[in-house]
Amino acid sequence: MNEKCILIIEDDEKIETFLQLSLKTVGYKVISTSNGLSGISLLLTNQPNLILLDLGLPDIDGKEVITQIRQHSDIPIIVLSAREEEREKVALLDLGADDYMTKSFHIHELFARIRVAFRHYHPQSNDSKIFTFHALTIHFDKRKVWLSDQEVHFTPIEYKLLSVLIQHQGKVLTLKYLQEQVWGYPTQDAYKSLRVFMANIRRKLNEDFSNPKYILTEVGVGYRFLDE
Amino acid sequence: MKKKIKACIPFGKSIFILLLSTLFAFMLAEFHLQVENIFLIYMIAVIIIMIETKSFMIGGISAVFCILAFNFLFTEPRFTFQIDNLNYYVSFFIFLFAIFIAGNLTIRLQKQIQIAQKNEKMTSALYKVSRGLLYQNTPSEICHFTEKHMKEILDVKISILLSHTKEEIPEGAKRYCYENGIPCGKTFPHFATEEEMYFPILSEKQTVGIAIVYPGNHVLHFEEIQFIETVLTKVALAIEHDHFNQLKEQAKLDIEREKLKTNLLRSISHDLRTPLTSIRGGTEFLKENLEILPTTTMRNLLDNMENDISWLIRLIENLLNMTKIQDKALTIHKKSEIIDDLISEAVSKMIKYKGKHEIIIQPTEQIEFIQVDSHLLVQVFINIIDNAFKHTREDSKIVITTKKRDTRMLIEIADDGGGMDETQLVHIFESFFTTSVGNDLHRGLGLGLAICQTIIQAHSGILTVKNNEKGGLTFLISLPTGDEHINE
Repeated sequence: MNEKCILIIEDDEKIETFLQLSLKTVGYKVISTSNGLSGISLLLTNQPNLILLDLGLPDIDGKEVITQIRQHSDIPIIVLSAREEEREKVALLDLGADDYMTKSFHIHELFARIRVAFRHYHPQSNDSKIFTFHALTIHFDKRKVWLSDQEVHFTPIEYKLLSVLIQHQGKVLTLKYLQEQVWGYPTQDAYKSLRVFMANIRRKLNEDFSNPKYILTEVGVGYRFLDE
Repeated sequence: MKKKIKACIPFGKSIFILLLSTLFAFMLAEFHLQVENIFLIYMIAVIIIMIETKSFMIGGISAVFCILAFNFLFTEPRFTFQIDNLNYYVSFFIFLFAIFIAGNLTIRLQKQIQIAQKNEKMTSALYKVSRGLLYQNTPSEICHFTEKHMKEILDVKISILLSHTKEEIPEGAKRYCYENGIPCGKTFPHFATEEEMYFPILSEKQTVGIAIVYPGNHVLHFEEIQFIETVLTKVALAIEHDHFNQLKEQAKLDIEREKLKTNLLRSISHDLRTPLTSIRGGTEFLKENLEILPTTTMRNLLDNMENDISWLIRLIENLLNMTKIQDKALTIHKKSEIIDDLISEAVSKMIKYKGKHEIIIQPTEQIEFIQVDSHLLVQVFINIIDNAFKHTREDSKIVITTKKRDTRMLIEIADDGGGMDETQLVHIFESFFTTSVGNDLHRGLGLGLAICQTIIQAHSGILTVKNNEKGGLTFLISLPTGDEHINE
């Protein structure tokens, strides 16, 4: 197996130890550092495949780290944030981070997000024109959507949103990203129309709001098409 | 022109009365009434004239006219100004003298009545103002009330300037009045050239402000100035009273806050130690018995510890919110959010703890936005659901319904898991209120619902609870939407 290398930039010793251990147990190679600047240099010297970036770094602002990383590399970055830093999260996602985890998280969730991040970094050339997930079936060439043998009609915009989400299945997409992908220009209405479209899509998919199967709404951040 | 007519009225009145009395006298003369009695009729007439016209002068003129009329019409020889009986000269003189005394008394009596009426008016006005001031609750209410009533009673414009420092009072006559505590301005020795009059508002210890009176063309009488000064002392009292009330309230709040802090510390040390003790015990036990324990036992122990940890994390989240509220650091960042999204988020976070419970969500008919702080509101839903998990039957059903009514969003969280005794229900939102739930460990600090109440109130909303027909509790949240309804 081609061992993937993960760079951990985390200043809390205990968390860093725990992450190292867990990631090594599932077969990843791990390098780590406790401050942002050496993290950036490690990126250049060791060429890791993915970065876990903690937000509360002592020396440098998370935004600065991401901007610098993105200047050199487009590898996946997953941000680890504490509860209070939720608002910063969105800014970082829009700056180039791929996903986030809120402390304290369950390690399996982190593994899942890492897997998703890798999957989308090397997308298999997907010639498959049909997408199936639970009761949902989409024929991309015919632009038709079925839910358990019943065809569901989606407006062009709804369809576009759905396909973008599915394209990045498992990954969180920010409101800004979705807005740009579908409309191509930014909005002045605080993404209200986008959110209304998304809410309608979820209703059309008969989502059980207490236990969604397809699309997860991440309040304040964006949306995620589930992958299990 | 009107003034001239007004001035003529008294004359008109007197002439009328004189004619009337003369006619009456004539009538009596026909009945052969004695001449002296006719004289008395004229006396009555003049007294009436003086009462009606309130003028000594008109009374006097009328008296002279009466004498002449009597002379001409009734004394022998009739219809001449000649008098045969010399006694009549004496009568006329006594008549005038009597009229003089009567007139004097009448006029003075009138004046006294006028003064008494005015005094009564002032006193009742003063009483009304004093009573009214008792009901004013803030300094600005006190000022408005006083200004309005003074205008009504005295018909002059008054405005009140309150201040605890002289810097807030504009320089000049006003500040002089404030600093020295004496009235100045028009008609007073100091700053007499000003158009307005300034009165200090003095309480026992200090000047709390000044009153500015704009008399205009109205010249204030002594009683009116006295009235103003009396009212101002009442105003000063009202303001002092209000100030003390505020201090009292503040002190009460401070005591409450201290009490809460003490309670918090006490509860924290107890309720955090319990799960931590369990976790420490578990890890120590595992370390010592790692080789000999069967995997299932170890797994159980670890599951328990995991539960304790989750519980601790939720507890600390609530605690953090609580301390933020206590320090008034709870800032609300309201944004437009889709209410279904918020409920969905809260439920997804709680889904792993649901056990045998069932959660059913009934969303709004159409997509509805609401202006709220998403993080805080999600916390409210989490806390209420958590409360249902902890305090209802294991397999209770929880239904969350959302409806929009006019400009309000109504969210109902109803369970069928047992309800609560009415006497206890009234305390449910109080801090540190808990009911025992079998396992003492998971009793909690009793802060969850108190925090919900605070958050909802901070959003200008209402949170209520009641026992429902399904045998459980219904929590009803009513929030202003602050947003336009968005159609598809």
